[in-house]
Amino acid sequence: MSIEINHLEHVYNAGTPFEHSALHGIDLSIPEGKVTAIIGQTGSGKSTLVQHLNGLLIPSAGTLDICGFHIQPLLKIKDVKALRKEVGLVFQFPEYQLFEETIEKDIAFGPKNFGVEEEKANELVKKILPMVGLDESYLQRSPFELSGGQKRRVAIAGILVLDPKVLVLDEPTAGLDPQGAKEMMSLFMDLNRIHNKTILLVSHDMEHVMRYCDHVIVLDHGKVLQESDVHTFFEHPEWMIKVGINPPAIIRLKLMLKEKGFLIPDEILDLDALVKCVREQVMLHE
Amino acid sequence: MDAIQVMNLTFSYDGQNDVIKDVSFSIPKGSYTTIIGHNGSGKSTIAKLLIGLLPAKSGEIRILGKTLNEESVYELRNHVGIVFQNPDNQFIGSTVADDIAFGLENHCVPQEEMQAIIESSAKKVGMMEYLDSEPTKLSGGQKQRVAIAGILAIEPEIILFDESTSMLDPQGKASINAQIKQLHTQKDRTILSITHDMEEVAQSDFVIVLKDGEVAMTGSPMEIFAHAKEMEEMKLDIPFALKFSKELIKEKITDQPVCTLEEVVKQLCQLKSTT
Repeated sequence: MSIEINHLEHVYNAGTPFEHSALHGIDLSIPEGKVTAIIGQTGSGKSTLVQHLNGLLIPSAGTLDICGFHIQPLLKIKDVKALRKEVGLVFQFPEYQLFEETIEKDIAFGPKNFGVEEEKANELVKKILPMVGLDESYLQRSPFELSGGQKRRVAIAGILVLDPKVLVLDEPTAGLDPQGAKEMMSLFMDLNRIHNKTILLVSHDMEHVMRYCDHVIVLDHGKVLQESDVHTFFEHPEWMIKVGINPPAIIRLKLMLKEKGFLIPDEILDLDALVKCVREQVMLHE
Repeated sequence: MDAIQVMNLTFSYDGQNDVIKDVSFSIPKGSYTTIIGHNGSGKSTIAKLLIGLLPAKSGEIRILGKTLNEESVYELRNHVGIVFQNPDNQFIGSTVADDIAFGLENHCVPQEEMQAIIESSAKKVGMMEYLDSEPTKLSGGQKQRVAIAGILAIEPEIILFDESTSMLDPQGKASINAQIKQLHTQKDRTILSITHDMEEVAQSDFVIVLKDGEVAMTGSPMEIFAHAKEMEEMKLDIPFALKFSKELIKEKITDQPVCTLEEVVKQLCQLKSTT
């Protein structure tokens, strides 16, 4: 079942002098079982939007249908508490939220909160660790002695242990070294392909969006500016620059070459194809 | 003269395990140096040592020729500015304007000149509309912009950036990097930038690669990137432009490796017009 968002509006501090409209007229259909990127500049409403997906925010107007929940204005937070089991939201720098003495306790905190008994919760923890690339030897260690990337894995395991159908990740690779970022992205790909999680990714990294995502949503000033599959999206880079998105390096190279009179077909999106394409053009002159 | 000289620097947080091990390097005045390394390699620790926030266990740091120690640290900090990765750690003012003013006050800038400087530096980072906002209520990217404005206002001789644009959108990052570059080229400031962004590294004059608290390599970006295999082993990457350039060489289209998109395009254009 896809996620359906209809005419969603969100106003912060409504009725006060600080009233601020963050989202207006959002209509979206987010496909199930896919990896969808949400992109846009600072302040475009990305975080506000994703916080609606697990009921952290309730819309000011409009509706949201997700995992069998129908969310509309004036709903009480307690009515949507069960939604948080279905939709896991991983904030920026989630490792800052680790707090327990051991990794086992930290990951078990979520299920225990949802009424799972300790013993059962610990079993779940054991099952979840390999999913994030850690093994049982980590269980009794303190989360604070791990590296940044490992801490982040523990924090993500704390969400996965609730077995959510949808996983929403806000800038999950910020601050990681290139290798750490790559490993983190392949973890999400596994979660999507092997464990069938629907993944929403808020990202500034256009290389990741191009390489890993199926679907792209662009927000600008609280509105949906563009929604398309990833190929169509990257085949029209001129438009991307117009709205202030810095395209991936390969797209920038294509644009620079085109400007110098090279003929580069829109559908070329990988390095080998681009090399072949310019090769024909410089060799032609020989 | 060297802006920064680091000699046999060793540091440990707990007194036992050294996280910085016998590190030496020097940074010429007016250069743009990048420091790269995997998470936990000691990059941020070095930045903190350089501004005297952490005391060295052994070794020496010289800033503009002067040894950094307890007596000189306050004077030397007049010449060195730092922007941390998480700007929450460095906000002082209750509004964005106050926060930028704080540094200026410390540098005894006359009141009548302050307003103009605050406005021009806020403008450079695109935060003009937020001068009266509370820094803590801004988004991560906006906070980073304010922290950078604080440094642009003072223009210290040496500026350290510790992953200062990690939370910015790509467009914002590009415009801030352009401001930093301008400070470097037009005002001859020494820039030391800790980064994971290999495109930024390709633009710098000099690169220091850290691995487990030691200097693994130093050199120009091209010299560093020539060790692609070692880079990968150190969890680092090479820029896309160089990957592309290597493919061109493999296909015998070009014979000289380059690491920026501009250079790739230039090579191909020359081929196109001469052959």
